[in-house]
Amino acid sequence: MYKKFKITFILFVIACLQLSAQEATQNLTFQGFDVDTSKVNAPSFGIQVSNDANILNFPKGETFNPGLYNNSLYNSQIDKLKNISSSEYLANNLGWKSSFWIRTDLWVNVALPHKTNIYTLIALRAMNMDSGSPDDFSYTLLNMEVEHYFDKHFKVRFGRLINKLSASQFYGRIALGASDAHVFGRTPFVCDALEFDMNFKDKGLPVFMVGVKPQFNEFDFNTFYLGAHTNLSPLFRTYLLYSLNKQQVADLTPYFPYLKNERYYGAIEAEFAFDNKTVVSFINIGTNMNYIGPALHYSGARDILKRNEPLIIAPNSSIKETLLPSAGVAVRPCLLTPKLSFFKRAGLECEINGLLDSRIKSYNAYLNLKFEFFKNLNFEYGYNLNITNYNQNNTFYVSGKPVLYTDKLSYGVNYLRLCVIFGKPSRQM
Amino acid sequence: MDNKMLKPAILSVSLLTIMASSAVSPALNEIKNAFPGTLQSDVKLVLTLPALIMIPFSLLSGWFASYFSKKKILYTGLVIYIICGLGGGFAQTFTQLLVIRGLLGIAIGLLMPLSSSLIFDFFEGPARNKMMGLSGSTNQLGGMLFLSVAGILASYSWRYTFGVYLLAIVTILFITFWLPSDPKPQVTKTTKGKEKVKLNFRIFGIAFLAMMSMVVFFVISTDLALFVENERPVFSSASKLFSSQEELQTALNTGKITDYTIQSFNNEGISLSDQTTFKEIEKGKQWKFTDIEKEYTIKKEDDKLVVYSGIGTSRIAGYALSLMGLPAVIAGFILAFLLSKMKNYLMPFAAGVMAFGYYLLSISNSTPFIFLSVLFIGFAGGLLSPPLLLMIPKVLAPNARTLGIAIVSSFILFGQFVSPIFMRGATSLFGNETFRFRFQFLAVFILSAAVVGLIGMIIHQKINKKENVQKI
Repeated sequence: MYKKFKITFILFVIACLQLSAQEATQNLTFQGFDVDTSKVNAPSFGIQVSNDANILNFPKGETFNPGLYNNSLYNSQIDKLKNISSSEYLANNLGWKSSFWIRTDLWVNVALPHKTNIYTLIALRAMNMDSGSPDDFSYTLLNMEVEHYFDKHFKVRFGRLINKLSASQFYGRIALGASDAHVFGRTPFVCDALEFDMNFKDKGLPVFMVGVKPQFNEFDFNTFYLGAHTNLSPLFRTYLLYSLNKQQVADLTPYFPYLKNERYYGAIEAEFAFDNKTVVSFINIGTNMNYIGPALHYSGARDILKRNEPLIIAPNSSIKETLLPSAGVAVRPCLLTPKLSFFKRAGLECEINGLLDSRIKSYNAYLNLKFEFFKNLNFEYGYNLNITNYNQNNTFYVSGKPVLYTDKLSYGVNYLRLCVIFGKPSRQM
Repeated sequence: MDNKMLKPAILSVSLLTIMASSAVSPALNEIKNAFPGTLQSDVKLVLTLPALIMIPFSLLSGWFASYFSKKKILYTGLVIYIICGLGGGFAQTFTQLLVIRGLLGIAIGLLMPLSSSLIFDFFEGPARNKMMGLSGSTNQLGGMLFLSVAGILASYSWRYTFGVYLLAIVTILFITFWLPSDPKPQVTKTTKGKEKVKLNFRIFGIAFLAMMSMVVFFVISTDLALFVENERPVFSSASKLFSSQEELQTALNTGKITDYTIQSFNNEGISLSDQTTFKEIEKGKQWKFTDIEKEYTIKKEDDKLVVYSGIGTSRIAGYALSLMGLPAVIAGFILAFLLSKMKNYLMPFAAGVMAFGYYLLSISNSTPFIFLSVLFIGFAGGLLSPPLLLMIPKVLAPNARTLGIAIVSSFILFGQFVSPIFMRGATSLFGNETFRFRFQFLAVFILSAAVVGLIGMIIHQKINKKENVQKI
């Protein structure tokens, strides 16, 4: 009797967490969860509380280049740029601020008899507890996933899924759609999808996955994806992903007014990683095929190019113009010597956007450090640097108004996180 | 009975208490709008009234525990908690709302001493220390959880905000399934009748220390926003900040400023961005410019306009105060570890950390320093109360512990009301009312208390040693 009641109670808690869940995945915060796909199905209930800070930083030595053609704009901004860099000026116009918040993550994961598991993870974010304003509070449903095993080889997953195949701590990428493909920060890749997984690891074959992502405002499927990941040896692993994505007419008409029909483009991504527990390194490369529209991912963690990205006009050139190589290395000093048991991770990752694009080059680098001073008490520091170089001066617009004329932008974001975890996460945080 | 779940069952009570009264603060503006004509100061009663009512009822709870089982008191408190917590959302008038909030104070008062008292009943030694720390953490955690959920509910309607008190259902389920019916009422009948609850006078010493801890800790909550916003005068201007009366009026109406004002500030070496907004605080006397993350308060003093620059905006102060919660959670989390290492010296250590935090605050000129300061103060705040509560079982018999906890908890709450009076007295005495002086005074005061406490402890230990040697 009690056992049944306990299960009902746990389900009730899950239902409460699910209520009124926010749909928008684009509002994801930078800090989040990585999923250790090797661990499965341990029932758990817990809370993680964090103090998060994102502190902006603009290089002071940056010189302002007025260019040759837009003198009136230059004259109007030159006084304002005495004390700040042009990147900071643009950021101010975009309304950027350093931000601080308290984040509470609640998770309930339940293993139901005999082959079904439910994962739930909701993040509550409070900016200013005492403001008297609801605007300072937000929430995001990060994971609401039902997973059912047919036998040890096959499973189906649906709901809001968390996937993370890459060894990257920062980019968390997975080529599963334009808006989700490149999520910055320590964020999980999250998508609403129905996915079928085939695991043949025991036969020495890869794990295959195939899935579709629906859209709900007018029910349709906007992405189909398939992928495979495998361990080549105990030290090396790799994955390959392909997705076919729909581009809506409404999203493209601001750039291509003549466009009448929705269109499709492909995205492909591959990664090769080495992991001997102490050192992890990876190289990753991805590109889009038959894509048109604003170039993706150039803007860094805070999207400084917002609506000023270079446009990809010719579908045929999109492979070249969206090619995105990245690489990274991370060490786990705690495994090197017991004296460093508190030092969990140090990593550095870099990527180059526009490697084969003559108009622009954008570099992203991410340094991350993780410390555990007491069990379940973590401190993390991360720094993301974004440098964007155009081959010529560009006018930058904010809300349709020209605000800056330059060929170079650079900024950094410091991420600080202090967090305490109560309970045992079955999925690595 | 599942012993593993005893801890969560007890901690689930801690989750509901300390911050319960302020849980609906995200809806405060909406509540004010829902009852037109209500003064801002009266609206604040929605938060403060339960805190006032809970003081006598926490004492009563301690007395009830002598006659009824704690589980029964918990059920009673929780039922009132849910009904009156939720009831606020159904209030049709502001008076009704206040009455319901007052009744909620009764529930919180009944529950508050029990969360600590149950720890004394079921845990001993290091496990007790650990649970006491976790209880402190859970209090803070409850606050964060309540406020976050309430904030989200408030974005739909202020009435929904009160739904946050439904979280108590989880506590009811936890104590139903996992809290043993024991312990029995604490007054045991002897052959001579009922055994009386005896209070050792030393409990009031502990209560006084706890109250003073709150007095000094609470200053950060009352003073930080004002300190951050109005820190220092940066220039006084005899010239106009607006080109004409019409321009001033337009700026007051639209909240936007022109290049003329930007230039006026620029002449004084202050760069304002296009994003700067303008508003009147007090008609004809005080105005405010808010730039990206900085505020300038303009005060008319004689014929001059004096421009005061804050370190940041009131939002920054709000963030800083919000961030203080986590260090307090961490303090509880590692309390047992620190107690095992420092033993009785933990209190002076915590006081030293708090003194350092206040000193750092007194010399802060930038946001990161303010954040760092409040992290120290928050951490120390989380360390001060639990060791005092852990002294209670050492001075009181089991049948008087709940009442003892109630007395100490009441004094802690009372400390919040004493804090501004104490600071007013201190600043009047020294004739310096600046915020930097207030923080410096606190740093010296707390450090002195820590040193006196430390010396007292050392002398006490030496006397004890001598006595032991003489006995041998």
